[in-house]
Amino acid sequence: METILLGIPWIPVLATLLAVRGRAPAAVAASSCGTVVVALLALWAEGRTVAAELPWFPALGTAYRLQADGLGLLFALLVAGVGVLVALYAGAYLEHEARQPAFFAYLLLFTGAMLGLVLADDLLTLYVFWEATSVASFALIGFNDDRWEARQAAVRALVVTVVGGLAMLAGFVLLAQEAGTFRLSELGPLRDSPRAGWILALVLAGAFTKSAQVPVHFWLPGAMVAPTPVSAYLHSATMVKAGVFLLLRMLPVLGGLEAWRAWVVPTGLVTFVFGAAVAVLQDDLKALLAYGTVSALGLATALVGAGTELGRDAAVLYLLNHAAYKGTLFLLAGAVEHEAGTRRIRELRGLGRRMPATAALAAVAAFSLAALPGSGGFVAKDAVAKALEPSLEPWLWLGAVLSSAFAFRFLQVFLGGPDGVKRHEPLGLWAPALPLAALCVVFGTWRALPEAILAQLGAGHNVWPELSAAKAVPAVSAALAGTGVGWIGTSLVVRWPALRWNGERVFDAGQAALMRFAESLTSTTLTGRLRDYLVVVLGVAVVGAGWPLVGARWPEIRPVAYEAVFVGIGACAVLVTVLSRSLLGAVVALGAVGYAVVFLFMSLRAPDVALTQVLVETVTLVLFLAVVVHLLSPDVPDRHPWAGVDLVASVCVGLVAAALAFQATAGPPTRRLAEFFAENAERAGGANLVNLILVDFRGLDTLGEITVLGIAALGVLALARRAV
Amino acid sequence: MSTLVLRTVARVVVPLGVLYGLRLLFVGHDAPGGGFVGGLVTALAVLARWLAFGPPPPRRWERGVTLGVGVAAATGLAALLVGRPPLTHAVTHLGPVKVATSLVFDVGVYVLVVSATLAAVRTLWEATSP
Repeated sequence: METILLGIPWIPVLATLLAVRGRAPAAVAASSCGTVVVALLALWAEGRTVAAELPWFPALGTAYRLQADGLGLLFALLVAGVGVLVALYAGAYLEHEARQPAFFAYLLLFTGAMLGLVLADDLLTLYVFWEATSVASFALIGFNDDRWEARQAAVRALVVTVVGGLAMLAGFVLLAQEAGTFRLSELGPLRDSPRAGWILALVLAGAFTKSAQVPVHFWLPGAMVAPTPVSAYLHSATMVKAGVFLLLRMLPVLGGLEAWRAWVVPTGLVTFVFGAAVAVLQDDLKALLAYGTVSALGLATALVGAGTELGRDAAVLYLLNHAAYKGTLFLLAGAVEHEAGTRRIRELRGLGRRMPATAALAAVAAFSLAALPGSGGFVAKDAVAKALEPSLEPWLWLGAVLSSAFAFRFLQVFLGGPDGVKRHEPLGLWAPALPLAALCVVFGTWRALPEAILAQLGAGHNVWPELSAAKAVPAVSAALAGTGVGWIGTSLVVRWPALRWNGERVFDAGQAALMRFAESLTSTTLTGRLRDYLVVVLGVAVVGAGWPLVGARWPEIRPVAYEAVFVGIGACAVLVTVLSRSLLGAVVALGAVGYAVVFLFMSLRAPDVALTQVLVETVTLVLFLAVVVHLLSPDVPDRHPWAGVDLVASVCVGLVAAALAFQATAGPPTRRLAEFFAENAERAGGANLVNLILVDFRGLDTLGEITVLGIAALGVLALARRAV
Repeated sequence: MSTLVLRTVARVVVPLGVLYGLRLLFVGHDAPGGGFVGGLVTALAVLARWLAFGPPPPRRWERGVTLGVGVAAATGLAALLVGRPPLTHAVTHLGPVKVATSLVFDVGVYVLVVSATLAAVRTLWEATSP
C-alpha cells in the first residue's frame, strides 16, 4: 500500500511518455486516470491512514512524504475521477487538433502534480507539486499559442499564482521553523505572535491567488481562452480548489489565530457575491461559468474561514458538489460551442430541440446549481447555512438568488424554438458529462454518500437535511427569484467592459511599465562606448575596494636607496607616458614602467615574479607595437573632452591599488603561511616554492585563472571573427 | 618590418626561444620557470618568427585553448580516480629522473598560454592589416 501511495502521482506522469507517442493519447490519459482511481479506492478500502515517505533532503528535515488521509483521498478521487471523464471528452472535443499528444501530455502532467498536491504530507512536497500545477496550467491556458490573448492570459495566470506560491513558500519556511518540522500531520496549532501573523499572511497569499479571490480573481475568467476541457478540469473542478484545499489543510494549524476569521471570511464573502453578480451579466457561456466558479470558491473560502468543524465539512461537501455541477456545465458549454460555433448567449437559441441529451444534462446540473430540493446542491447549501453564522444569512440569500439567476441564463440557450440550423450532438461530447450529472442527483437523494464523505473527514455530526416545507420553500423561492433576476439580467446584459479596469488592466499596465523601465535602463546604461563602461567598472572597483581602507592603519614606509632609484625611473616613465605627444612614444614609455618594476622585483629576490613580469611586459609591448598601434590614430589629440574624467579615474585607481598593496603588508607578518609552504615543499617534491604554490598548493586558483584566460581568448576570437 | 637583419636573427633565435620556453616549463618545479612563463617565452619566439617572415594563415586556436584547460582540469580530476581529493599531486623518481604529476598540470597551463597569446595576436593582426 505504501508503495502504491508513493507511486500514485507518477502514474499520470509516466503515462505522458505514452501519450506523446501520439497513438490514442485520450485513451492513454483516461486509462491512467482510471488506474489512479482504482489505486485510490484500494487505499480507501484499507480503512486506515496510509502514509509513506522517501528521503529527499534529510539535512533540511524534508522528505517526499505522502499521506492518504480522508481529505486527501476525497480530493485525489475527485482529481482522478474527473480526469477520466475530461480525458474522454477532450478526445472528442479536440478530434481535429494536430497537437493532441502535447495537449494530453500537459493534462497528464497536471493530473500527476495535482494528485501529489492533495496527498502531500510535507510542506515542501506540497509546494513543489503546487507550483507544478501552475506550470501545467500555464501550458494549457496558452495551448493555442498562435493567439496573443491565449499567451497573455497564460502569463497572467502564471505570474499571479506563482507570486502567490512564492509567498506561500516563505510562509511554509517560517512555519516549519516555528513548528520544528515540515511534516503537515505533525504541525500543531500555532499561537498568536507577530511571526504567526506573517505566516498567516504569506500562506493566505498563496491560497487566495490560487483560488482566485477578489481582487486577484481576474486570471481565472481570463483563463477561459483555454480549450474547454481545460476550463472544466483545471479551472473549475480541481486546480482552483487547491487554494481552499490549502486552507483546509492549514485550518488545524492557523485556524486558531485571531486574524484567521478576520481575513478569510470577508475575502470569501466579497468574492462570493462579486463573482455571482458579475456572472449574471456575462454574455459568454464560459465567462458566466468562470465567474460562477469565482463565486463558489469565495463561499468555500468563507466557510473554511469560519474555523469550525462544521464549516470545514460544509466546505468539502460544497466543493465536491460544485465540481459535479460546474464540471457538467463546462463540458456541455464546450459541446454547445463545438456544435454551434459560438459561446455567446444572445446568439444561441432553441438548442434544446437539436441537442436533447445536452439540454437534459444541463437542466440536471442547473437544478443542483440552483440548490433545489433533491439535488446535491441542496444538501451542500443546507450544510453551508448551518455552518455560517446567522448574521451572514442575508449574504447567503443574495448568493443563492444570483446562482439561480446565472443557472437560468445558462439554460436559456436551450429554450425557444429551433433556429433551423441542422445540428447533431456526438456521443463523446455529452456522455462524459453523464456521470457528473448523475452525481448531482445521487448526492441529493442517497444519504449514504454525503455520510461516507463526512466519515472520511472524521466528522461526528449529521448533515442530511430532512426534507420539510420549512427548508424547501426558501430554496424554491430563491430559485424562482433567481429566474426572475436572470430574466431581467438577460435584457440588461452588458459585455462588462466597465469592470475591465479590474486586476487584468492593472496587471497589463504594470507589465507594460516594467518593460518600459527595462528598455530605458538598457538604453541609458548600454551606451556602446568603451570609455563609459570603463569609468563605471573602475569607479565601482575604486569605491568597493577603497571604502574598507578608510581609517585603516598605515604601515611605516622605510625606503631603501636602490628601491627608490627604480621607483623614480618608473615614475618618470609614467610622466612620459601621460605627457607624450605621440602614441608610439606613450606605448614605449609604458613598457619602461613595467621594466622598472621588473628590477624592483629582482631587488626583492623574487626571480619568478620578475621573469613573469618581464615576459608579460614584452608580449604586451610587441602586441601594442605590432598590432594595436594600427588600430588607433597615431596622434594624441591636444584637447580631449573627457581627459579630466580619465585623469581622475586613473589617479583614483592608482591610489587605491597602491593603498591595497600597502595594506596587504600592513598586518603582523604571518610566518605561519611561509613556514607551511617551506615544510611541505619536500613532500610536494619541488624546490621552487612559487611554482609549487601555482601548480600544487593553490592548484585550484591556477585552474580558475587559466579557465578565465581561456574564456578571454575565446572571446577575442569570437569578437574578431564577427568584426571581420 | 621584415628586414634582412631581422630574418637572419630570427632563424637563430626562434628555435632557441622555443627550446628555452620548454626548458623553463620542465625546470619549473625546482628553479624559476613553469608553464606560464615557459608558454610566454615560446609564444614570444613564435611572434618573432611572424614578425620576420609574416604570420601564417589563421588556425583553429580555440582547440589549443580548450586542450590546455582540459589537460589541466583532467590532471586535477585524475586524483579522484585513486580516491584522493581533486588536484592532489604525486612525485616519484625513476632512477635519476623526477616525475611529478604536477608537470602535466603545468603542461596544460603551457599549452593554454601559448594558444591564447598567439590566438589574440593573430586575430588582432588580421583585424588591423589593411
